[in-house]
Amino acid sequence: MNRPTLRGLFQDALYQVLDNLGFRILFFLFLVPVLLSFVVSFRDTSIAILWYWEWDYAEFVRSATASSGLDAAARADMLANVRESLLQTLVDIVIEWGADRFGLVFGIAAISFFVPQMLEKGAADVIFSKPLSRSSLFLSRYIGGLLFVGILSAFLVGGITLGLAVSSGWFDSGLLWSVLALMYGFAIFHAISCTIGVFTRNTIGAILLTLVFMPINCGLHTGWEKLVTLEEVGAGRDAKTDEPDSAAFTFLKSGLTTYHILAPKTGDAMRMARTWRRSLESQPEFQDTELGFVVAQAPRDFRREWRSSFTREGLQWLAAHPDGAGEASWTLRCQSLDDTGPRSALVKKLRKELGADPVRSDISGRYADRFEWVEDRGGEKRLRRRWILQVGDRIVTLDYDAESGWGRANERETAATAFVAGISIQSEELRQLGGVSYDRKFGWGGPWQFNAWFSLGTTLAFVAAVLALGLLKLRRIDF
Amino acid sequence: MGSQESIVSVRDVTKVYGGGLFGKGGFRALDGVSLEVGRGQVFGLLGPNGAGKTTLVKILLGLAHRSGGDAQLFGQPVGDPRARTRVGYLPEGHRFPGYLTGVQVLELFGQMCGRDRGYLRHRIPQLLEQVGMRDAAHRKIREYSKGMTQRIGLAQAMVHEPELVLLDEPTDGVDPVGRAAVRQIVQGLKDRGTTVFINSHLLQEVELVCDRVVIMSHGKVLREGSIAELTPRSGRYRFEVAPAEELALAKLVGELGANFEPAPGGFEVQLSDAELDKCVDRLRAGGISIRAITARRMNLEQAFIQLVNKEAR
Repeated sequence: MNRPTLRGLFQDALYQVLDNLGFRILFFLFLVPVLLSFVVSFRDTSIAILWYWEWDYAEFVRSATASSGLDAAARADMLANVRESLLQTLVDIVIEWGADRFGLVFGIAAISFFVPQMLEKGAADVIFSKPLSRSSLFLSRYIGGLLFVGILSAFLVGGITLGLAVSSGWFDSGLLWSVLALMYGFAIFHAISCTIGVFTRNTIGAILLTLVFMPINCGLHTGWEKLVTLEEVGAGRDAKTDEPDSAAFTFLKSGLTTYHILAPKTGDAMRMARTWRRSLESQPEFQDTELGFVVAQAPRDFRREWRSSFTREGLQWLAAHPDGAGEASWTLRCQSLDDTGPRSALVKKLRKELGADPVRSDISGRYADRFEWVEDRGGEKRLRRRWILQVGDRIVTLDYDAESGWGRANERETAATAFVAGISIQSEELRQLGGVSYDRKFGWGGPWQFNAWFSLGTTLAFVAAVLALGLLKLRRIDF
Repeated sequence: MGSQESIVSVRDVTKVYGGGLFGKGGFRALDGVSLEVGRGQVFGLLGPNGAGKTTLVKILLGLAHRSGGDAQLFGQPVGDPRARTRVGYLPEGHRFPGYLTGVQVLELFGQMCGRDRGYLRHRIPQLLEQVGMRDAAHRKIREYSKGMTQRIGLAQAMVHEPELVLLDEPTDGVDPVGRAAVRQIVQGLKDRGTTVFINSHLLQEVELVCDRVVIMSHGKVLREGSIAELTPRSGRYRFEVAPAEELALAKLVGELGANFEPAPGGFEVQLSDAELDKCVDRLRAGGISIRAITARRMNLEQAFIQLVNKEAR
């Protein structure tokens, strides 16, 4: 194919896309969040609209937690992270829900006519009589669809990224991976739509069958993910029972596993984008994927004691006193309930020792008892804090131990709040059942069934097979 | 055909639609069709509806697959897209993308045929002028009337200056003035040495422009030849004579032939070859001066109807 031909096909695809009503509607729908990202600024302590109306985050936090019973310290924890949380949540809503779900369905509905229209009597005679192979024309229509989504995705994601950078000074270059993720998800369904279009030569048929395939495919993959999670949870609980699986369960499992291997894993697109984003972001201070623990950053001016272990004596961060006398420490520890006893007993014991009640606090959105006291250690006054929380069948404790006059009070508090806010926990059983297990294991270096390369390879193979099927049929058509 | 270079070569081509697993049954649209079209010819393909004309054209353009036989364009197999680089095609009932303007259609199809933008920038305005579409060139195709679509279709078939132009019902939906323009365009193509392959049911159009014609029916070639070869003598003669009394003429000739009809400057009569000699003798003996004798031929429509009816019987 020579250059003029390629240019002609590209122009045709572009004209077709720009003339498309669905494209125009999506463009205007996507324009709304892009414009909002320019006019709403997320500042360090407040949100401003059009640089005029302004609301403090503190007001939001106060209103949102008014009936929750959280104390001032817990509110401070939330406040420290509110800007980042808000921005991440909004971006996730717009891109993962708005574009990836609504945009995908609408996009498929909007461009499923590409192939059937090309194959209509009269139109096919003109276009297929040109000195181009049928495969070139078919693939040009497929690529035309990708162009449609590429333009819209770049506009949405690029626009929001730029808007937030300009108005809020918040730039997440990893967000741009979402453009590829959106195109990847669309490429899968568009291939199916094109091939159905060749077989049915009917736009409505192509739209309906593709839209029917979407939830079925998603449901079967989710089913497999749940099954794997259930097995994982069950293996932990019933390790001692040795009952064989029923024939129906085995059949279901084999069927779902085969489907998972062969079929396109559309849900992995955003997972991959997240992985790419993570790879661009700075690596967390500590991560335990098995337990789902992530500590985003070390406490300011503290250095981790590398020999320390999370599940034994606890992770420890140390800082020497500026005057060279003594040191401060943070210790994060995770122990089995079997070793520690129930959380209530631990809290009760400490309350009795200190003669003081804990206050309600939270770590990573989970309830935690927080104690604070001053300890007299050999004549030295030391400020002590301890958070106790339960995560599944484990007890997590976080200890702070420093000379009571250590640093400036407000700086010390800000640093402590930021450190605590950077701890995230994902390993709760209920969330495992919600698919977190798959998310947790998914990655470029994960086990083969959860491996991003495997997912990418099998999905692209599926897309290639579907397009080849469409092409095979197209080559046999007598116009 | 003689030594003339063959542009289109069709040998024993068959096409069966909807055949079973082993090719049995189904509808036989083409049944052993063979024809040749030489360079520079204006070739007409005629036949009643369902004769297989469009199927043959579609096979030539790779739009349909032949079930048997061999077909070539410019010596290359018809399925090869490269063979179509030198071909322009105006399909019957064509539909262009409604989102494009007339100019964009010509640009798109010109580029698809390998022509660059520099070439098209000069070529397109000429073509638009030629087909009378200059004023509507920047309107969307979806706003065009049928006649306008046909004119733009004709232009797209010629945009890359092909060596062979296949026109399937080129005057379909075109008004009489437009038909004359189409004839003029075909004549222009012929003058430039372009081979033109016309598939039409408008026999008068074909008769006026074609050098060579094939008549098909039920998937078979019934007759092939020049217009003169395909339009046999009707057995009717026109005599141009010196002024004479109509009654006297009728008396002299009437006994010999049939359907004597007076005509300006003479008369017409149906005669056999033997009767023709006798008629001349009688007229000369009667002192009638004969200025000219013309053997009347069937027109293409009459020949076509006669042939198709004969085949149907």
